[in-house]
Amino acid sequence: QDLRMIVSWPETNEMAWMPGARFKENLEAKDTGLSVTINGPESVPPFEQITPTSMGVFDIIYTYPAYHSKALTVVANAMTPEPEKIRSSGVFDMIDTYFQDEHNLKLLANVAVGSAGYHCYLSEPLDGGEWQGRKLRGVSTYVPVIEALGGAAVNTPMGEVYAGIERGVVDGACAPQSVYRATKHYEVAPYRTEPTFGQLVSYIAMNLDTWNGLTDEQKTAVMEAAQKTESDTIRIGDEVIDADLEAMAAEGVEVTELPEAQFEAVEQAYYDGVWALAAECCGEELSAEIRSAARDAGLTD
Amino acid sequence: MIEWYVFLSVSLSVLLVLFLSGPPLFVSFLLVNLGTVLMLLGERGLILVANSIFDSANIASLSAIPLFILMGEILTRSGSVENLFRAMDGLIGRVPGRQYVLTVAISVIFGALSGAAMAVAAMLGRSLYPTMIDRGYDRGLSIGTILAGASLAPIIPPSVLIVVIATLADVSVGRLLIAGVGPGLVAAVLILLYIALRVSRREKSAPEVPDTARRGWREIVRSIGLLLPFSIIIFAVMGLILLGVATPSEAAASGVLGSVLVAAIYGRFSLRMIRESVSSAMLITAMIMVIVASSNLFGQMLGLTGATRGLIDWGGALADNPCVLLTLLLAIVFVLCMFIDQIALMLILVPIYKPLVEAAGFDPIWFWLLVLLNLSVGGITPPFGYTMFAFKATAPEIGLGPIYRAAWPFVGVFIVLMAVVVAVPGIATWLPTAMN
Amino acid sequence: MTPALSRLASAHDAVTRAGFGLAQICLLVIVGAYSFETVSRYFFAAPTSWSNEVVAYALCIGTFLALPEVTRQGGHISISILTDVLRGGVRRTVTRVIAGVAGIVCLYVGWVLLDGNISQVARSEMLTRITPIPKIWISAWITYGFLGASLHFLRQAAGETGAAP
Ligand code: NA
Ligand code: NA
Repeated sequence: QDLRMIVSWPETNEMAWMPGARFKENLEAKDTGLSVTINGPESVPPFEQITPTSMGVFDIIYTYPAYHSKALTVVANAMTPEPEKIRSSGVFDMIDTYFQDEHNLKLLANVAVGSAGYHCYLSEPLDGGEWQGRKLRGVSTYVPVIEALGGAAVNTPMGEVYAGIERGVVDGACAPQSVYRATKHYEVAPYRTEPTFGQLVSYIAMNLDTWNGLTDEQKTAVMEAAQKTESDTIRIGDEVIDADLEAMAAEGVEVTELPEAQFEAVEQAYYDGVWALAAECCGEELSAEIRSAARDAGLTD
Repeated sequence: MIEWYVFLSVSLSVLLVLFLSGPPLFVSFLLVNLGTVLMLLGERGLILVANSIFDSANIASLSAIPLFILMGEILTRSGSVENLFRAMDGLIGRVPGRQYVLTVAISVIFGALSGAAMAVAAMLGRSLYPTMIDRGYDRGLSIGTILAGASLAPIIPPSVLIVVIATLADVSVGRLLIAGVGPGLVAAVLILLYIALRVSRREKSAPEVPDTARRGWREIVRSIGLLLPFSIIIFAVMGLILLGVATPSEAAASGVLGSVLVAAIYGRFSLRMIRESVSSAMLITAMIMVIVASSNLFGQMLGLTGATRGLIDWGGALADNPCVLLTLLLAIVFVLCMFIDQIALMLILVPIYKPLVEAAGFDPIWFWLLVLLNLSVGGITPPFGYTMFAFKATAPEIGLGPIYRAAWPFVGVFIVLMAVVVAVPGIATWLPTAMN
Repeated sequence: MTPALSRLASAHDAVTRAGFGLAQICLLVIVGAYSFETVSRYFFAAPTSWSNEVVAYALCIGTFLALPEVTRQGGHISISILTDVLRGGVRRTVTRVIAGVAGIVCLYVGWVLLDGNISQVARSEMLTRITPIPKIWISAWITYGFLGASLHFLRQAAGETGAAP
């Protein structure tokens, strides 16, 4: 049986593409008669991918939570990248139940590409640890972070950010290092903030009808492949992050340190923002329940 | 699952037959897309039709299209463009084919203002074309010059297309942008050379404008004075971009305000003129956008059936023969561009081309710039090209037949341009290298 | 045409005209939003969070509010090689058949879109750019555009006199 998988990133974005390819490899290695065909954003644009998967046009989706509505998996962005703990704490099952009810999707994996989080990158170094009055590009979960240090969030289209930074229309952006490198934004914004905050966590899910149509053996194989993918992507991600940062340092990228007080403010704003987003999209009660389960397991604060 | 080449040839043939039998183009696209989806995925796949229309109709950067059309409408309907022509008549002496030269010169300027060929084609079609016809210029050569001129827009920076290609292909956006300057200017020279050839062979295609008076310094000063207000628009668009005040799309909006101001300075402002301009610009925008929205799924289906990938695999066997590979890769872009949208094509091709480019050891800046030239001319290769449609939308009295005939010779000019850039890579790579 | 049908037709024309009026306002909104964004950001260092979204939505809504009017005026871009060589009754018949096909295709797409709209409402789908809004707020206009255009095509196919292509 061939499973059709839709993913939100093109093959050129190697880091973002890797988890999907990894899952395919892991599942096909199980040899249970399941194969995977990957289709990228050239087949369906990223923001429009979840509905066709819910309806069974695709069997598997690998995407970023904030691209879609009712994106409860976004909470994983506010947790430490410990897949086993996320499962054993019950957090995984709570999200899975919600996804089955709301999206007709069976949650297979939360994939973090490495264990480091987001940077903001700037055309000028930090001034006293703040970016007071600067215009930084960032959407959804980044907005509270940008505002926490006195910046203004702008949603300049990604394609215009490079020229925007070059000409001073924007003063930087917040994104994971893979995007920072792939977009070449480091050429015009060579100061990246440290330490990083939050997590870039995407997810892999399967159409529920497809899932229910699998044999028990196949279901086990799928879940094992998914869990292996979760740990693979963190390991591979960490290697690639180091390589990315080294390559960009060679191109003249410098670190601009967030002092401790500012970093704490950023991290707090980020976590609050993610949980507020979850409460807004998927219900106060459910998100509070997940947050307390995650807190008990030491995954978030 | 049907073989990709069956899908590709059948859907392209059906699309071609539908195009030629006369329904609105967006309807032909919808028919083929509906048929493909129903055949491949059944009824549940219909959600993809709805999604693709929604997604392609909701792209903020496409707003530069209505804004540049509106600028052109206001400049035309207010009569401001006539002042530009009068001023140019006062400035330029007896150059054979002066309007063609003017069109190319203005295209270069517009190209440096705008990133979208459609917007420039619409603007030239609105403002320059009626004047050229009024003055008895050859219709085919006038249309061709405008189409070729408009095709400079994605080549000369700023260019949305360049930013997208560079991002997808993992090359420096800044360098690829700069790389467009040389080929853009060479293209303008080649277009002028071709026009000179045509004009020298057929006197009638370029009538002399009656020379009313000797041009003294008084006349020249008056002409310059007449031109001055246009610098407001240049500033409102180019100036704001260069000064870092606005993004290209935002600058397009201030260009609209600038054109209103210019109309007011010429004493041609009226609410009625604004109402008519807005109405006309919105109609043209809807004609163009509904095709964009309806055709989007076609590119998605090529990706979904594996058609494009299959095509490239087939070409990938030639990776050890760079000359053949280069010709083939460019030929695929050229042929597909005849039928489908450039951005959709790029989304499919760039990820697949990238490893081939690395395998063959091409200079990435040079290679992607050639693809860019190819995509730019793709807007004027019949039968399908947004540059042509944008022009056609502004000049409803012309059939697509004459537009196709007018376009082909200039497609030839761009093929020569590509050959020149292949032979002399320095045209593209010199400036980016000099930057370091 | 019966008086009842004719009243329906003029009602449809009135809706089309009103829609086109709103479409033109959408274009002004685009100009206004981007101008405001530029001034607010440059002079007051206060960029808006909404300008790009408002512009994208205005472009989409404006396009599909204008679609029925483009269709009423017979303004769509097409390759008229075939109809250009035909004459008289044959030409009229072919033109009407084409309008009929276009009408059916738009009606079908309109139905597909409507089906999508219903599920968007049922699943309360949101657009998740910066400020989440229900998707139906935008997508409903696309459905309106196709259904309105479909009706104009079908009226042209039925041979109704007026602004046929
Ligand atoms: Na340009
Ligand atoms: Na073409």
